[in-house]
Amino acid sequence: MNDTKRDPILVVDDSASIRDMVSFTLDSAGYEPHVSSDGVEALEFATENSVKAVVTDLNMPRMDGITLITELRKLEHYKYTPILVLTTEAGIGKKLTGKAAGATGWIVKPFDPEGLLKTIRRVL
Amino acid sequence: MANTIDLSQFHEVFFEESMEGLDVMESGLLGMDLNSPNEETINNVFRAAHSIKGGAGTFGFQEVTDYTHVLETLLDSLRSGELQLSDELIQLLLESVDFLKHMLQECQAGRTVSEQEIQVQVDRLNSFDGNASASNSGSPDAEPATAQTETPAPPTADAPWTIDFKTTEGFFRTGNDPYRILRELTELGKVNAEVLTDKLPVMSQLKPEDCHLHWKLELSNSTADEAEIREIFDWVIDDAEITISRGDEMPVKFSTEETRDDPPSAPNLLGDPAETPAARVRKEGTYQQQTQEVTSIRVNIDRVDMLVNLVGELVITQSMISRFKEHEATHGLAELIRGIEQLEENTRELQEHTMRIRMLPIDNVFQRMPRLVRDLSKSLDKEVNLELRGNATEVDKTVLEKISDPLTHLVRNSLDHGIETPQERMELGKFPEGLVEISAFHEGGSIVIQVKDDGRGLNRERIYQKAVEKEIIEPGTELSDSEIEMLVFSAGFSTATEVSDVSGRGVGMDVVKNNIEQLNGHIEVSSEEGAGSTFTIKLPLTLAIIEGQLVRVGNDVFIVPLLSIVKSTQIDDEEHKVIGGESSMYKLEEDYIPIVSLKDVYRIDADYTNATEGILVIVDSVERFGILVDEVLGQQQVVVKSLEANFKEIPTISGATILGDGTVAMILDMAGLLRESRSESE
Amino acid sequence: MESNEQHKNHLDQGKQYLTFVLAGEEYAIDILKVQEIRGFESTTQIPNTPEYLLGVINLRGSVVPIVDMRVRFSLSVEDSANPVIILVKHAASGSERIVGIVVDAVSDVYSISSEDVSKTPDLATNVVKQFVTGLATIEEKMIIMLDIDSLIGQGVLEDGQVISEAEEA
Repeated sequence: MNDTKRDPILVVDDSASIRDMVSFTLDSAGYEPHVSSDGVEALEFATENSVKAVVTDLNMPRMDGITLITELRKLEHYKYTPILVLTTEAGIGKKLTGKAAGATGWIVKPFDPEGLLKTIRRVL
Repeated sequence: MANTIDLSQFHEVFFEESMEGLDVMESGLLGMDLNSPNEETINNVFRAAHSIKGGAGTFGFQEVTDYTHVLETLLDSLRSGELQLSDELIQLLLESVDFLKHMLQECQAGRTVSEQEIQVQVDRLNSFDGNASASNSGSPDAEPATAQTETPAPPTADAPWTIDFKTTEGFFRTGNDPYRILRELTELGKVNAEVLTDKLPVMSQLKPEDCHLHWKLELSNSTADEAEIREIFDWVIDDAEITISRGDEMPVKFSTEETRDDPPSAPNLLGDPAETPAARVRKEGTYQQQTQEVTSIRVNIDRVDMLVNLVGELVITQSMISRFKEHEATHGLAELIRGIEQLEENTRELQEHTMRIRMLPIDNVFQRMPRLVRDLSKSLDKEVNLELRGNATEVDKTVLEKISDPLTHLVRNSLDHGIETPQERMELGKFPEGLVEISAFHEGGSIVIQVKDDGRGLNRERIYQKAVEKEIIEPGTELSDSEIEMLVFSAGFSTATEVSDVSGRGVGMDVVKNNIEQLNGHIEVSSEEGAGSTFTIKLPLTLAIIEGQLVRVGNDVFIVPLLSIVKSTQIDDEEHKVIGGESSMYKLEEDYIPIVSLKDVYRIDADYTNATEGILVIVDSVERFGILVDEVLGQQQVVVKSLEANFKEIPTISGATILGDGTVAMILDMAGLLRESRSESE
Repeated sequence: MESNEQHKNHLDQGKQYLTFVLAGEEYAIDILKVQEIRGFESTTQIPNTPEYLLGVINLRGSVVPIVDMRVRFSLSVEDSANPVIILVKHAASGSERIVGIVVDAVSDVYSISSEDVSKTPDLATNVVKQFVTGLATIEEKMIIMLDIDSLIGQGVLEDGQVISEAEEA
């Protein structure tokens, strides 16, 4: 990977371990991860910054993932940004709710670093 | 690269946050109002369980995931209102929190919990209220049987796949891009694409954010089966019409209709199933009121300690410099003196703020109390209300860790021996519910923690009798009320006629007192018969720095923790008594207290040859006693250095410190000193 | 691999030792264990410790115990004009400690190979003997080779229990 221009990716999860793991994985694959621990924090960051993709958890305090996605899609510079949802739910219901709010796709938990990167590459 | 990432590096964080999550669950469950459960609280409990499940799965603790999943199912039916909140359910959930904690601790220690043990717990959860839907759908997120069964076996192997891919206008709005989908398809084989623009509106009506393209795709030279192709289109099934066929078979229309099998009652993680995303947006104002949470960062404690140490050094340096203020050579150098004074002020402030980094709210310990009181009052058949005050009071992390056990014991003690049974209370004209009040507050440079109950109070007569029986005091010894009360802290004392399993466990109040003294703290009790007792613990704010009293014996300087000093005094002949020619006692008020002569215990030179020539520093530790020294010097804050860092533990010394002149001084350990002095004189 | 081999040869040709003088005898310790050499300074006594433990000093903010080697080896206690403190590193179960030893004077640094060392140190006192690994003859002088690790470990810190406790923290 070219170090001078790394693709920034926003990672949103209230779980520090998952956040650490995702950002570490992204970092070692040559992306530039930015982390937030809930929707409010993420939205604040996103308002000020542009990223190439967003990976977000759904179940979070203060602002959940669905609201975050809806809010992000309202921002001009996030209209078409790929947003991937981290979900433990393999059922279609959750995926559809995410899709309806504007999510691009999903990553089903539990996931391993390899699976995560494979999915990320689908949208970049 | 990514495939070499070692996930175990994230385990510690996972365990830590899971433990925090369990605390959230526990306090949420304990605070639940059975009649009108708070929706937000239930959500918090659910979310904590959910996070643990997700993390455990990702980091490879499958049995934790599986168990949490069952727990989550139960919580979910509670949230959806299918299950009524009951005392019984709370109890079960609390126990499952305990079990989950146990599982995580085992995982952390690299061990596993046996399958049978887990199964027992799973069965308990599953068997709770058979009419609840817990078992009908198996799980809230089991993979629904999708349209897989409709997939016909590939009739003509190696025949090219034909895919009709017609986007809808909103295709781009979810951040998807047909290009990326085609790119992915090429990874499965050779793709021939034909783009149909028949849906494209005329230029004047074309909106650039809409997508109107329609592809006819042919995938050849591919070993992919239909599922693999579907997977690529998985994210866009709602934003496009997709049909996949092979050879001349009937094209299968691929849409979400056939897989949308979630029953309307399916658990909805996000709240009301009827709530559409649009409805949620309208609610956006609601999260804002909660945005005032304290933001924090996780810092390795070693780094903090390093900083604390450095600031400690700075304090020493500063006191070295300050000594020159009184020096003759600096007379008239007003500016230098001002500078020194400013340095003093800055150092003090810097120290204060640095120490605060290590400070945590006592709530961390307090939040365990409701559970303890609940469980205990159940097993003792007593009714007890618990009140916690001053939860936000901050204490040093080490103090916090070490105060938990003594505090737990005091609360046990209050419930076991203090609070009467409802019946007894009614007969006494009290409310049937007893009250235990735990409060924390700052007072001067110390933190005070009080455990107060409105129970029967200490029975001084019985205590006295017991103390005589246990040979703690001589029969006929005259003691004041407060002295009698302090006897409960004597080693080997226990007022309970039989050791109950509640406050029993072979731990007495003497251990509580010892624990607190190890923290350079102090405990006392006051009590009114029939009206209750109050235990008051006084602790230093931090262990890294103590307020010290410098004392001199001959050429040696020692430090006595200021918190344990009662007073310093010169001894008159009539206050002094020598017993058996060897050990001497001092008459303090009505009592004789032992005198510990540092000269004799340490076999060092001193100016004094007999007790009346020295100064007696009276301290309160395991018991009151006096330390005989030559001179009482100044008081100052001292930074505690461990002797073990380069050497080993020394019985009568709790640590060392570096004084303003750069020399080392020993900090005396009160309890150890008394013990040593006793064994010396034997 | 090759460089490892070379390294080993180099070691065989002579490991470096610092020698010091104590009551007229010359002792050698592994120079890699030596952290620094300081002039003598007064110490603060630690109560109820063996006599050979002089006390502690303040070494840039940490508290370091100091052992008087003359007393430790039960040698005549004539004061040396210029005693010196050698600070040695002692690694025990992962944690490194610093302990100072007081000697009459520091003498020299020699390369001593294993062939130079004979194993019949019968002349020394019993206390000394348990820490002696052999005798070396360098430039017609006899040098007593000391195992500084066991001297500090068994002779000063004594029980391993305290060490493992510190480890846990």
